[in-house]
Amino acid sequence: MMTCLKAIIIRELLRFLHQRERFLAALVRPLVWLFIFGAGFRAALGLSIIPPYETYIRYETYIVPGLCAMIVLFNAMQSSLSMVYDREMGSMRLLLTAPVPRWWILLAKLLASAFVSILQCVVFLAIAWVFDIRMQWGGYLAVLPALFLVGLMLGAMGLFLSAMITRLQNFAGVMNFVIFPMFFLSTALYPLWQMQENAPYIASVVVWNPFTYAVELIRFALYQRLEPIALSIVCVCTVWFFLLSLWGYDPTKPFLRAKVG
Amino acid sequence: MTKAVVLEDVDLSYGPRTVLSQFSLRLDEGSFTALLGPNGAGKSTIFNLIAGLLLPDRGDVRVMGQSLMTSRAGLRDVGMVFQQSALDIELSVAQNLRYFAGLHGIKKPADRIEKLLAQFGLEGRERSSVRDLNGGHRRRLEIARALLPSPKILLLDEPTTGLDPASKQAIVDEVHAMSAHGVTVLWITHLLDELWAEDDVIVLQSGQIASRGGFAELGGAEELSRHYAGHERPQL
Repeated sequence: MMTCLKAIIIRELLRFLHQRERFLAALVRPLVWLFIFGAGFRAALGLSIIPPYETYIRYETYIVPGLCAMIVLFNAMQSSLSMVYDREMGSMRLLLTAPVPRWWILLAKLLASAFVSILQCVVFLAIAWVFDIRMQWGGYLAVLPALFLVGLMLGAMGLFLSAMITRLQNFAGVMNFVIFPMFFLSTALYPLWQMQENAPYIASVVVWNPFTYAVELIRFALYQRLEPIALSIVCVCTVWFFLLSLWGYDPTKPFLRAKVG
Repeated sequence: MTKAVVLEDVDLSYGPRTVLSQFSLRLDEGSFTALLGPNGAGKSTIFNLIAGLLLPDRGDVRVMGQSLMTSRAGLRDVGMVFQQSALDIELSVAQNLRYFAGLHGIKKPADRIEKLLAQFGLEGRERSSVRDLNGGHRRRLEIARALLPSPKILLLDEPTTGLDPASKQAIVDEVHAMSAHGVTVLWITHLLDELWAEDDVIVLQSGQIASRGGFAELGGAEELSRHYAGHERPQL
C-alpha cells in the first residue's frame, strides 16, 4: 500500500512540475492580491489589534494567511479538475483498478494534493519574505502542519466535487459557486469584526464557512499559536468531506457507474 | 480445472436500465476467451466488473478465487487494456510504467520495464512524452503496461484499435502465446480475424450469453459476423 501511495504522490509532483504554467498561475494569483490589491486596500481598510496580532500590522501582512489558504483552495480545485479530466480521458481507470482499497487510493490522492499545496505556499511565503512581509521563523515551521490540514480539508472537498461533476465543462460552475464564494465570504481579506460592523448578514455567512476556519488556523499557526476552534472545525470538515468522497466514488453508486461504464 | 474468473448470478443496472440479470460466467485458467456482441450487449460492463471498476447489485465476482466484493487483492493478478487509452499524457513512457508499477505494489520495476519496452519495440523511447507517441506506439505501451505485473489474467477491450496490420498480428500472436503459457485471456473484439480456431468464443446479446463454443464450432468468422457480431447492416 505504501508503494501505491508513493506512486500517486510522485505522479502528482511530476505532473505539477511538468505543468509550469500551473505553477506560475498558482503563484501569480496570490502575488497580484498581495502587491496590487493589498496596496490599494491598505489605504481603505483600518486594522485594529486582534488575535493573534499583538501590534498593528500592515494590510499585506493581514492577508498573507488568506492568500496561503487561497493557494491551497485553488490547488485543491485544480486537483479535483484533474480527477474529472482523468476520468474523461480514461486514465482514472488505472487508479480505480489498483489492487488496494479505494479509500486508500483517495487518501493517497489527498495527501499528494496537500504536498503540492505546501510546496506552492512555501514559495509564496518566500517571495513575501523577500518583499519584507515577514513572520517569525518559528511561524514558518508551525504553519506547515496547518497548511497540510487545510490541504486535506480542501482536497477532500475537491475530491467530493470531482465525484459529483459529470462533465469537464461543468467545472466552470465550481469556480463561480464554490471557489469565489468560499474565498470572499471568509476572513481571508477582511477581519470578521469589520464585516460584523458593516455587513452583519455577510458576517453571519462567514462564520458558517469552513474556509474561514482554514484561514484562521493558518493565521494563528504563522504566529505560533493554535486556534482550537479552527483546528476542530477543519478536522471535522476534513473527515466529513472525505466520507462524502468515499460515498461518491463507491463503485455500487449508479452515477459512478454511468461515468466508468 | 481451476476457474480464473467467476461471475455468479450477477445483476447490474445503470439506473433504470438493467444491463446484466442473473448473469454467470466462468473462465478456466489459461483459456483464451473472445467476447463478441453488438454495441450495448454488456461486454464492457463485464470487463469493468472483472476489473473491479464496478460492483454488482447482486451476485459475486471472483478473481483467482478471491471475491472482489470483499477485497481488491485479487486485482493484483489482473492486467487490463482498456478500449480508451488510460495513459497519462503529461508523463513520459517510463514514468507511466513506473507509476503503474507503483499502483500495483511492484517495488523494483526497472528490469521488467526494460524487458517489456524491448518486447514491444519501444526501446529508446523511455523518456519520450506519451503526448508525442503515435496511436500505434501508445497502444503498444498500453499492452506493455498491462503486462507489467506479470498478470495471471489479461483483460483486453478491443486492444488492436489503431494498430497497423503487422503490429496487430504481432499482438494477437503474442497474447495467444501468453495464453498457451497459462495466462487467462478475455479478449473483447468485433474483429473476427483476430481469433484462432481453438479459441473459446462467447456471443453476448442484451446481457445474456447467446452462444458459447469454439470459434470453429460456432461457424467461424463468416457465420459469426453474419449473425452475432453486430456486422449486420443496422436498420436506420
